[in-house]
Amino acid sequence: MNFLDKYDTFLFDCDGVLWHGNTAIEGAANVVTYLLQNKKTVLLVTNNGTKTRSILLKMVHALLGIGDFPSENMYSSGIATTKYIKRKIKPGEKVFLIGSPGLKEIMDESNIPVVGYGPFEPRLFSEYAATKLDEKVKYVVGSFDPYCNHAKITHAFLYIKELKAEYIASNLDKLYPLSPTRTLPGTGSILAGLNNSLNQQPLVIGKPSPIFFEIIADDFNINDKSRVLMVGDNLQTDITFAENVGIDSALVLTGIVKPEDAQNRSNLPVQPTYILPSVGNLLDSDLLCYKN
Amino acid sequence: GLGPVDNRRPTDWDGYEVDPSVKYVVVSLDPHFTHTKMTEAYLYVAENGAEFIASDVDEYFSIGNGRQIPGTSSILAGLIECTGKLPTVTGKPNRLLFDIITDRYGPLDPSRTIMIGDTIATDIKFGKNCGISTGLVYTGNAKQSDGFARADEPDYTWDRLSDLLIE
Repeated sequence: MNFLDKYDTFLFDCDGVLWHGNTAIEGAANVVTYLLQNKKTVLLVTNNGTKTRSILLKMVHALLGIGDFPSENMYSSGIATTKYIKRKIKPGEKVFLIGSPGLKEIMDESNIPVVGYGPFEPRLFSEYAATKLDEKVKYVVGSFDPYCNHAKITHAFLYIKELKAEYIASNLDKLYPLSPTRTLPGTGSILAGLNNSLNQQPLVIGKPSPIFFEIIADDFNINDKSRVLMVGDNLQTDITFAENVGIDSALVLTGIVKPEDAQNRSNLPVQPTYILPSVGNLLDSDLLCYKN
Repeated sequence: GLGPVDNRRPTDWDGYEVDPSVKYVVVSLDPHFTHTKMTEAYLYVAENGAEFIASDVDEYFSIGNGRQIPGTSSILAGLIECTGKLPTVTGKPNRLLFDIITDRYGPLDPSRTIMIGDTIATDIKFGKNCGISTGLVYTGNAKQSDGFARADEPDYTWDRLSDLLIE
């Protein structure tokens, strides 16, 4: 039996699976094209909350040579977070957003009223005594935000603590890999202070949260989880996500987990269903070769 | 790094050269703390091996009328998360301040010395670490309804500082 016989819906993480930065991984373009030609549902599922659909589509076009990839098959943690809010928010309600220009654009496209986004004026501590909160803010969304500062975090704190706004985060990655040689503090580091002060963690929408899958399953009417495969390179996000949802997973060794790390399978903290050298192996004739 | 800093976009950090002479990162409550400052501090610790020091770990800062805002510990939490390191805390409850005081003013009789504050985790613990008496006032962080663990119990409690003169 091959992978195409067994699965109808393929969820792919992007970085480390289909491409590295600006270079496609060998075989990735072939696999995605072949699956689409064979009428399989192909969904890209990334935790990067800063990229808009149009940027992701441009990457698919430039790196995989696919110019007509359906935009509704693109899911980032930012897109999923926005869909989650859209399903719940009532007319007149607002979101206090700690987020990137990309996420703001996604929220604008969904007509979600946003406050707090962008550069935020620092406040002297004494000013907070008189700060009046906007009673319409019912949600605080936390995501990667290079403009985040103590004043923004303090406002978010007050909205959650005093107005009981629902607190949601797109992801909690500690670090943001800017380039192979430089990492920056990520969303998890940005929100750590807020979580610490609240003594509360946000509801996280991104992988490995099963909420991300619920949103996808709802959009695509997926009822049979046994015919869904998650392909990823990250044990903590991708493979744990599959486990949390109850779907099969394929770990590729072209990203975070290297071939030498996977040599002793029993040492892996989470066990994927399959282990593949790279995504190209999805087209091989017998999936049993890769069964973990 | 003191005071307001311009916000940098993520791409501005590509190729940014960290000043190699910065060997210490000192963190205190800073209204101008931003992702840009956090990134610079992170790079000093991660790339320069700079020592990571905090003046205090206060969770909240009381600004009056019952409102509290995130304190120094909220700024530290982010740096601890991305550097994976814990800071050396020089402020209360570390007894360093007491040692500095006795160095300058001479030894103090602990039985005739009292630390008075509004926060159990810093002020009262500090007093106990120094072996002196402790007094808690309820005009700031601590509230009567909070209660305290046996080990944290202050020697005295007052609704406000002026009550000291009444007893």
